[in-house]
Amino acid sequence: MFLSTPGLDGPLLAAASAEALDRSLGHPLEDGRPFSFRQLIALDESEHYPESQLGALRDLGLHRYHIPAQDGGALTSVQELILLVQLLARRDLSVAVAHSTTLLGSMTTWQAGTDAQRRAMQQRISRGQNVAFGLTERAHGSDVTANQVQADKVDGGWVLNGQKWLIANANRSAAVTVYARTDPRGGVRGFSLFLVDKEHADQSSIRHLPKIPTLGLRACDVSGIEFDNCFVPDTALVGQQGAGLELATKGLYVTRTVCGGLALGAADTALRVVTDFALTRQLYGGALVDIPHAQASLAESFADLLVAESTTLTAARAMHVMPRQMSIWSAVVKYLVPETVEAMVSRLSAVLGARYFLRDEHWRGIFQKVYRDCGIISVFEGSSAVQLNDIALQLGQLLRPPEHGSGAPQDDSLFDLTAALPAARLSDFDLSAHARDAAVSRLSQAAERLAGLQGDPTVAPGVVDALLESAHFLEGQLSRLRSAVAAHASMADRSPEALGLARRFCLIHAGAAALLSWLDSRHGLHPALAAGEWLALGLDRLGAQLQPDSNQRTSPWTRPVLETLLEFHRTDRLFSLTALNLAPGPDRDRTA
Amino acid sequence: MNGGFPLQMPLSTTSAKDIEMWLAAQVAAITGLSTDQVDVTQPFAEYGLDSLKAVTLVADLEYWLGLDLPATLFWDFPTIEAVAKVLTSS
Repeated sequence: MFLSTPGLDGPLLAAASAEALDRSLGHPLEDGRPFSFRQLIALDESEHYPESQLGALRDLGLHRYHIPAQDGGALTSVQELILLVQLLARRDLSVAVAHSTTLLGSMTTWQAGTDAQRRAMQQRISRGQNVAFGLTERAHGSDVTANQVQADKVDGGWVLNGQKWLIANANRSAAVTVYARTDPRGGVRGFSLFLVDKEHADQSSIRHLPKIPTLGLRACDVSGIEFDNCFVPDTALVGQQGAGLELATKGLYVTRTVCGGLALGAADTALRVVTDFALTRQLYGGALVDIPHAQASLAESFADLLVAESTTLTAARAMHVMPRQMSIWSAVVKYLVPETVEAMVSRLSAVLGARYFLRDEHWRGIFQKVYRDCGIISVFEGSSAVQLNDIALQLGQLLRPPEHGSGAPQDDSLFDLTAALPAARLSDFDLSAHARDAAVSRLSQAAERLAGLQGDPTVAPGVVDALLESAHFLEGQLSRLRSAVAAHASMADRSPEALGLARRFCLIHAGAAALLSWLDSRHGLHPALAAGEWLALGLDRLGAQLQPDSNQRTSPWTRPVLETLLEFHRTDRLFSLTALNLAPGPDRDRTA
Repeated sequence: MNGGFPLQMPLSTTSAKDIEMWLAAQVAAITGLSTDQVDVTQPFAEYGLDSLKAVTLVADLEYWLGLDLPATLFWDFPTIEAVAKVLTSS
């Protein structure tokens, strides 16, 4: 198996490995199985909660990945967790979100809970119960310092009042972490977190709101919960009184990164169904896959997906080795990866033609479902604008010419996707990256290392020169960005200009992360990915976004990247740097 | 003053007065006021510094002082005077 994932072969996951997980779920075109596209689409159409699918995932032990290893669970590597999320999301985003919501609901307990709270959380999740996260309110959206749900101190505990709205699994959870105002004046220290045990609370003090009809994720329970003088004991307070804003923000750094895995899984299915369609569709006396613009769309989508995966997986690794930088790494993933995937799905819909609009054609109509489902990833857990503003505020510091901080240790395996990781440092996150981004600050080293690869037989001809050119281009863009930021009056003004500058930073970060992780991991990659054409194409495409006036032209990398894509499709491999073997396909009826 | 949040605080060799002047200049730049219009005893929030802007200003201060500071410094010491004091009193 390429790109070995430490821990996956351990005894904790009953299915023994991610590949075994996918095999045990069966090929998605085997209609009779609960994880087949046909059944998942039926759930979506009927808007039924995926009870039996979630039960099957619990039987496989997947819920134990929501418990850190030091608390007795299976979560040893966030990189591994994201791979599992990709595999779930490629089937169905509703199932992946419904399953993963407990990670969000429990994260602040893992980060800041007492021993007793952690033990209770471990037992709750081990029993297979869901935990929701009650942050947002109908009137306030992402403006969480305006939230109104209130907790008043009484003898022995707190009394909660108010309504949380747009909460995943609000109805389907045994407990919910609630963000509530504990100082009537609000302010940065005016909010606290409470873990509300719904089973032991006075039932008359809790009201569940009905499931909210949604465009996508129709099988999910997206609803709300209302508290009416709901008493919780003192032991329900998570972290200190007043720590709510800080803890909720740090908890989101994990799930914002996991959102990358959700988007990547959805992208795999979109690309797989359209690749299959392009191979079978006959047009103008040949196959669709032989038409140059279709070839370019497919190859570019594959390259974009792999670059987005590099961004996501390196951020997952940063939780283990660079926890203090997570405010930036998680924001880059949360902004860039869903946006990349939305653009990819839109581009692929043009290859699928009229069928993208049909609800039961080609592969049971899964494409239109991915199309509807994936649009919400860029919105929930902090919208794209929220992420870009978070980055914009730190941009002046991040772009400061390296002085201190650039001498960070280099043997930290941050970019070696094949290396084992030390334990995740989920409690060491910080609200500021303190002017450091280890991807961007190591960009200049990438150029030096590339020069040493000339003539390496495992790298395709011409790739090293192309990557060198891209590395120098990105360095040039970095210094141009530095000047542009210095010239902009206020990076805090939430203007299109400030957010646009933050977006350019995201693209440079993504390019650096892709380059550095390829350099560090290529010996463990599938030979076709080690050869590097995908990276040359992917970096060219990042470059085109940084210089939007550049002309469209046929890339020399389209052909080799397309060949790798077709090979991965034919041999049922995940469209991923892991090149994971998926459940083998049924030998007939792949198109209906 | 800080509600009991345990912060690991390094000590600055820069004087409290200099820290106050530097911070007043930053707040003035953000608000468009003149430096002498900034009251060192007023909470940062009164000058429009929301939660994230306050975090950003900490990173600027740590660069200027050459110290590693907690990102929530201005959340827990919410006036210029309080920050200058905690960074200089042992």
